[in-house]
Amino acid sequence: MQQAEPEWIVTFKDDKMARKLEHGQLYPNRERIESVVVFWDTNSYYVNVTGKFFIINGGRRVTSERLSRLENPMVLCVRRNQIQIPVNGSSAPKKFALYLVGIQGVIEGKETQLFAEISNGGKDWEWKEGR
Amino acid sequence: MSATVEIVETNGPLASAVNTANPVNLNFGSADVTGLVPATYPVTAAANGASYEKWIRLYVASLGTSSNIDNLKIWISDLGGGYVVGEGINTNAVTSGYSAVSYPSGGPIETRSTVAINVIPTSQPAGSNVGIAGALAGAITAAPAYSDWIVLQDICTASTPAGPANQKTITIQWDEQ
Repeated sequence: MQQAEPEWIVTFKDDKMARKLEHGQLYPNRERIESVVVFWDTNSYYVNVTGKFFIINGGRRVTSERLSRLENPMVLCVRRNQIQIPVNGSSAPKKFALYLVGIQGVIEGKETQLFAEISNGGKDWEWKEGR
Repeated sequence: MSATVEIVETNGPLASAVNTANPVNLNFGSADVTGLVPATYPVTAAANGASYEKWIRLYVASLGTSSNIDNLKIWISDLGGGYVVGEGINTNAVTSGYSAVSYPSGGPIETRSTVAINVIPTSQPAGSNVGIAGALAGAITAAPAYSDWIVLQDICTASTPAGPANQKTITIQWDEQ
């Protein structure tokens, strides 16, 4: 019998196809996030949510050298909101929201943030430094 | 539950100012009203010509389950057909050297703004360019609350051709944590 997928799993393969995406459920549970583990060899990023976890694979590599210097790492979960308003036109305003999960810490005295930005229903994501 | 956030446009003199939540557009014109039709209130092409300023803010009605709203940005995300000759959009938004402005007692003006003096960026700025509580690094941590003012103005010159300007899209972005 096929093993059931763990709840809360998000997998981004190198082709950027999400097997299952629950990032909208991550945000309300951000207070329950316990830890972040980064595996550079597989370029994976794990966020533990009280025993459940998210996995993001593939895409741009975050160098181990940079991450190994991160002091006092802290998980951040951000809902990024946009309103697009027309100027000199008649289109209706549009609202968007996307979610970012990431880590924040101090590198050589400088506050640094690394985010995986998830958008377009989970089909697109990229690492971003800072917000 | 995410925060309840609105864009609010303010029109009129300070003593009788009218707030409009979620304006349908930010069309510029020769009247200090929200949601105007540019053809009804055209901006006259002239040396140092200008529309009425637009004064808007982010209004956080409720934080929901969030605890922090920050990283407020504004930029033109779509120039559409681009600016016509002599046209431009200015703002008070900046990523450095920021200082908050106060709503004028007489309300928005139709001459060149003394606060919206920076060209609005046409790509997302790297950092916040609109302040909260007077600082770009500011945050809203209790609701209800407003951001600092965002001032916008469409400008033109004597050489700006008659007729409608191209539609553009302004994006306002903020983060919730």
